[in-house]
Amino acid sequence: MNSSANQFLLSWVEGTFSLGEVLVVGGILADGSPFRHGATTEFVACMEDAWWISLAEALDRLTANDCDAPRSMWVFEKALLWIAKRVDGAWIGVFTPREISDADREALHSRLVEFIALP
Amino acid sequence: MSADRKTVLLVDDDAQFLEVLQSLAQTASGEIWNVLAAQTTALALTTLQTEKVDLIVIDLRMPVVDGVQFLQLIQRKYPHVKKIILSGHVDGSSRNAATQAGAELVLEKPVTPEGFQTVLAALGELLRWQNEEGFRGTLRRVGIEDVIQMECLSRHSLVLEVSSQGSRGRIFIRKGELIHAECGDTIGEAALQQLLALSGGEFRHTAFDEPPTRSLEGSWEFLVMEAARKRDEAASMGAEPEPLPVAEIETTASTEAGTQPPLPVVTELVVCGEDGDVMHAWQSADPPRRAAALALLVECSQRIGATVPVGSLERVEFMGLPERVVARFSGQGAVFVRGTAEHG
Repeated sequence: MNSSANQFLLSWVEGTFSLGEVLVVGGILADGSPFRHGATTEFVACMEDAWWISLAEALDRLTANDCDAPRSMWVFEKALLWIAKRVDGAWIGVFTPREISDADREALHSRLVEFIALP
Repeated sequence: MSADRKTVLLVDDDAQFLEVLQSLAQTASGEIWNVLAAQTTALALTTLQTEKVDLIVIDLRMPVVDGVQFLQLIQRKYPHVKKIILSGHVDGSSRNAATQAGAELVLEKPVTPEGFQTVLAALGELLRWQNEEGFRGTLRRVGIEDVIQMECLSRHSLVLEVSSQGSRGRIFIRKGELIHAECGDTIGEAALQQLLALSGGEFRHTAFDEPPTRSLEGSWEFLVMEAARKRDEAASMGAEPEPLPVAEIETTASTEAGTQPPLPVVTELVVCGEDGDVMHAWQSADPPRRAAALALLVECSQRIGATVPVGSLERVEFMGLPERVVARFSGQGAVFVRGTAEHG
């Protein structure tokens, strides 16, 4: 992925997710560089690049153990983590509150599918 | 919360069994069921007071208040809640005691994945058949044999009206006993065999009415098996092979039964204990690899939980795959389940 493609993807993330709706958005671009977009106070740790790099390493280890999918939803006690992976290696992670409406869930699902299909 | 969402309460003093059954039920229902668990009858009563429970599954052998005593208690207070008894040792007397106390079903406590699958299917059937007095609706790909089995196990009284390709008949079930069958001018076992050999058609539940005569004797299990044997015998002698009877009933009423999707079929299962060891594996090509993946998910979630306030990991659903894959976690272990794709 070249820099203009990276820029397009980052613009898409910034234009697609707004704080308040999600707790924090971040991930790794195809060239391995981390990105993040906003974070509520409680998720300020996610503003560090190292946080996403650490998660990327964990996801790579899961993939190596045949535990992989284009999308996954991690259900925690107090939050949901949605992950979508592209074939070029880029991935996005979105934290949302645990309780979200069916409509919001559908909307998020569509955005993650769109992320995977972005040029 | 969806109107289709059903609440199932599991009551068992065996924490590990409770954990596995809760995980499997939640997963197998595609998260349609809200599956609650209580390790004591006291906790179960509290849950019944605070939640609208549709179905309760009770272990027969529990300390202080046993399953039958508990059944009697909740039958008085919550007569509309469907009740299933699970027991490691089902015998005639315990079955009678449980059914007389209000249990719709008395099932063997499962110890194998196939057993769990059977219990989950029974739970699904019972939830589907809830509030179906005079029900008439759609049951696609459910054999008449299945319906007879469920009604007899539940010791119901009803008449099944069956019609197909010009044939019409009725099967009378009284308190779980097959007592009469008629198909055209034929009655008794021959009529039952004709009806069970139908390759498709419609059936309808109607309220029980005394038949003109009693034409069937013996256990329903024997009668149904004999009908199946006759059908197989006819097929092996060159008769046109009949597929299993499948009922296709038109929906004429909006009932809860018509809105419940079928249960997914589990194709792989790995259960790990608290220490990460594989406790049980079924149809898994590489259980240690699954255990390693479960451990990695836990490790990863702990790293996330150490920096942001998300709490502990409950489950991970993998999407966009041909099959549905779910990993579930609790303080007592983890379960990896692969099954047919999620509904819709």
